[in-house]
Amino acid sequence: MTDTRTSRTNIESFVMVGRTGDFAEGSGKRVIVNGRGVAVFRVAGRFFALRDRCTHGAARLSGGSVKGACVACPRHGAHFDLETGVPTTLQAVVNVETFAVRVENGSVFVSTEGTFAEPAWFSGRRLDQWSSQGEEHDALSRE
Amino acid sequence: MRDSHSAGRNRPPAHNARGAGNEPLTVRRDADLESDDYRYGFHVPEDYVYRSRKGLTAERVEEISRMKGEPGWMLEKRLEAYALFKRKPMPTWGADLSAIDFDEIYYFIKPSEKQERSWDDVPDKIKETFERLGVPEAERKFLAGSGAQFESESVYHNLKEEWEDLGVIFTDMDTALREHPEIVRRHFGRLIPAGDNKFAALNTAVWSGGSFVYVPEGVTVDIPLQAYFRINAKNMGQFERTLIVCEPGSYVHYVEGCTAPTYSADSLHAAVVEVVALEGARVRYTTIQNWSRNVYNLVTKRAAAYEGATVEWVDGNLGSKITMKYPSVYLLGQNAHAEILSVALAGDGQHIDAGAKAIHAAPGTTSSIVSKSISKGEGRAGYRGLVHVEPGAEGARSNVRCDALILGEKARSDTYPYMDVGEEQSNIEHEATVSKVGDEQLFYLRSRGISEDEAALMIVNGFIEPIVKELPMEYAVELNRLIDMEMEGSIG
Amino acid sequence: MITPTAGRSLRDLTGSMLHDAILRSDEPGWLGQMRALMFDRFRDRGLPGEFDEQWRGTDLRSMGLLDLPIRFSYGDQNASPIVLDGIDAAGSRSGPLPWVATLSDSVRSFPELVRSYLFGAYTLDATPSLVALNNACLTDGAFVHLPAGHRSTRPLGVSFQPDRLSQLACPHNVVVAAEGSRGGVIEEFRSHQPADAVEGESRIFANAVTEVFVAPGARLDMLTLIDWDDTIRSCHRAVAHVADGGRLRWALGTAGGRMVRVDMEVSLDGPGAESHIVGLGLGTKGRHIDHRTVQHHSCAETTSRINFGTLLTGDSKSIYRGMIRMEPGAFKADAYQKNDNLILGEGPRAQAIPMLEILADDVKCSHGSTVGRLRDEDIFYMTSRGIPEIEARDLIAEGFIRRLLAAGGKESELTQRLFTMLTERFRRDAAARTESEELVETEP
Repeated sequence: MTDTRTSRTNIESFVMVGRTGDFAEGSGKRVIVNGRGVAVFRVAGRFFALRDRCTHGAARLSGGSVKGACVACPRHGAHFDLETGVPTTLQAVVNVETFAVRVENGSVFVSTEGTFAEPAWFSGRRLDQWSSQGEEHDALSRE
Repeated sequence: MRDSHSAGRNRPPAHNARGAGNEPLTVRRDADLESDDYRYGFHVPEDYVYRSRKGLTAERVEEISRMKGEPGWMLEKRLEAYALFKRKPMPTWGADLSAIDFDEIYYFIKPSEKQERSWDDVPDKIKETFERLGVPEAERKFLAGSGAQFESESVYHNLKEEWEDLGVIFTDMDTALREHPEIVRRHFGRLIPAGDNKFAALNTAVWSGGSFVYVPEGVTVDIPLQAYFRINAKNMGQFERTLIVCEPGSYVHYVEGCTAPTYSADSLHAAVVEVVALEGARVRYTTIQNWSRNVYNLVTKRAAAYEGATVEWVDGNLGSKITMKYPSVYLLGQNAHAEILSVALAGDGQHIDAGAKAIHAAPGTTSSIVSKSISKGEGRAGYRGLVHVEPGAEGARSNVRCDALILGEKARSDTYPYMDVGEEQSNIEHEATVSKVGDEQLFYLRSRGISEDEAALMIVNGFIEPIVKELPMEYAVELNRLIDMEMEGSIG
Repeated sequence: MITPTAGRSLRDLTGSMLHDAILRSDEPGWLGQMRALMFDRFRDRGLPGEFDEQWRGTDLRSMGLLDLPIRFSYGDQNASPIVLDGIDAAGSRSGPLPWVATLSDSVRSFPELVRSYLFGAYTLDATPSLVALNNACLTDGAFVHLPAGHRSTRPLGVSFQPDRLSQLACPHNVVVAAEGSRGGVIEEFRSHQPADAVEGESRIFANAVTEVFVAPGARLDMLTLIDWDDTIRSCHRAVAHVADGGRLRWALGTAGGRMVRVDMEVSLDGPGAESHIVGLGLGTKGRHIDHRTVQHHSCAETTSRINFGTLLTGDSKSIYRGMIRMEPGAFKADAYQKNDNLILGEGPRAQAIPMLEILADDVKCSHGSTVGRLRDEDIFYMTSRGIPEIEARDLIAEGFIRRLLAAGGKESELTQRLFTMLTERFRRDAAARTESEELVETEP
């Protein structure tokens, strides 16, 4: 469970978005949290949630394909790391908001408070520092 | 070693290396032996014959990958890209691409099967252009599609040794994938993912040939790397994929193409170029292309400039039937800089839709775009550009200058610039003018005894001068000669 | 005018309903026929969608246009949204008096005159879908006619102010300056929703059209003022045709509104025709403003100038699309377009797309566009002299507006009026700065 990034961990700030069975492995699904779209992904048993809006062209990431630990936007193919929302390819240059996800008793909960990773120019991060589309390729390590 | 410089180009003299029967010798370079498939590193059953076929299927994509002996991850990328290519729609803007029939194209032709055309079939105008431009004999046939090979062995080999000492890698993409897979994998598709647009998807599925350049940290490559050095029919393909990676603090100038009319039997060229300029690196990429008038030249060229880095695109678009090309720079690190210079000349039957894109995604980034286009006869030249400033890119500054010259009442010029600014502390300026050769200017020059034709030529040369002066000397000279030819009879 | 069944929305309205309503009304046959044709045209084309190049970035289809009740008329004349001004005062120095009346009155009094101009700005095939919608469902409007040779001393005024009911209103103005005439016309679109009005209470969408015809040798000074409260959404297509030797000066100011779209198109139809446009869009709070201008040259020796600016604060979003198009016959045409977008604050986003399509060779054509802070030093200069930053911003804004209007040429009563409206509105909205969150569009 990846809920350590939000400041609050009370159950009250999480919204239930469905049962685990509602989310197919290896794909994304759009849910509404606080009136705004959130894309929930289930990959290798883990759950991730991102704002359902590509920071490049506003397409819905929930309709994108999952590539390893990333999702590729359906419109122009920009990849985002599912855990941090950081773009790993162009044309996206802005991090997408991510939300903590909790699974309890077979129900999936998404936090109402999102997080943004630091801008790339600030942290000095480079596109090629992410493993290529999240494959298990040992030569490349995540920094 | 620049002893061939006096020949006007970094190319070997024409008399080199012809066999006894006057057939051109093949270039001997690692893994480049034309007819020896075993050199590719895979084992082909003796009785297997690959026949070039039209149209594209997943099986054909697999064949391409297998013939090249690629690792599994590249095959996977190709197949994913093929699926995307089928799904993606054609662009609804830009030039008219409706005549492209994807089923009629040969997506991969074995070099030994490439068709040549007879020298007699080469149009006189082309032959005349070669003459006027001073293109060496040996090159003429090659450029005209009438000769399969062009060898540049001696010059290339000497320079190659120098580079290898520095740790510079300059080779073709197929070789790079074989010999430096980790670098390729790290950067391939980062700037232009397969889903970017329909033609990027196509290229990612069927790419072959193109250049790979890697410059280690702190290394400056004095002499421009010329694609021409390692060009031959095998590498000069329709779906070239080029990747340039410059480590921090390095410098390289890469040059491709030539002003001489270059014949291509393939009517669709969908190339992809990715340039990575890491911190403090500087890359200049110069292209002069003059494809034959049957070619659809659709190129996706994109660079990433990190902190303190500079990327310069110098783009000369002549020839082709339709060109759609918008070199872009993504300024991802603080104080990165982009410079894009573009010159286009469109005549009868041509539509050149060129431009530039600068994306400011970090503070202190700057960009300068200069576009000069000339439309003559019934040609149509256009500028299509984007300057995008993200919120947070404080201190971003951009200046765009597009000038168009219309020669003749049937010519057309378009300008479609987009500015999208989300940051208050920025300064974005754009200016464009469209005019013809001015009556006053002509009058002035003629009053000094200069003929009307010469005067017009002077004005046109003056018009494109800011860009021409950035070209390597031999290209500048050739471009001027070419303009000279094109301008004859254009004013009236 | 016609009065079909009350409360009909676009979604429910069918061609035959409209046809019946037309039959029942006292409108002349030709007008009814045009409405029917236009309705069919709108039905064919539908609302512009996201792939329409001219509408990228402004999602018209998400604004619930189709479900608003259409106001075909305002019934009681006393409650008419059309207010006319200055008829008596526009006493002429020479020639007959100008005609200024509502469209409905004009159709009754001078049907042939109205018929020769109404809907004349576009050919049927070229009529954009929103204009077709307006033509089919037109609420009412004003018809202004400056007779040949007439010279006005004061500008005439036409004002449209919808009442507070939810509605899709289609006001339609026609302004004609006949041969050799000289005059000024001010058209206003305003509303005064109470400050505490809540979004759900009433929804008004104004789909307005203004057609302007400048005859040979005539000189017309127009001012279009859009001053909406925060809840209105509107589209306005303002089209002008300038004939040989005619001259049009047009000032445009837009303020307020939740979403405001203006298309201002000037067509220089005869040799020597000239147009000068100056305009400013005020983007404050969380507005979405979208301005498009077209300078269309098809004849020799025509001149057009546009100075268009946007001033953005709060979380506003602005799009400016400017087109200069020159057809093959535009020998020695001269066009210039300048667009300046000033962003004050961290929230606004500005897009500028100045375009050129030139198919003639012997022309002079240029454009310039700037976005961002023009002069960083201004604010620093002032704050270092003890002027609070907010006031410094207001002063910069005012300076920007003043410079823009000055670039449009000699100051006139019209531009003075525009300046006053814009600066007052800017200050008023600035005072409400802290409540800017109200109008922020939530993402889909």
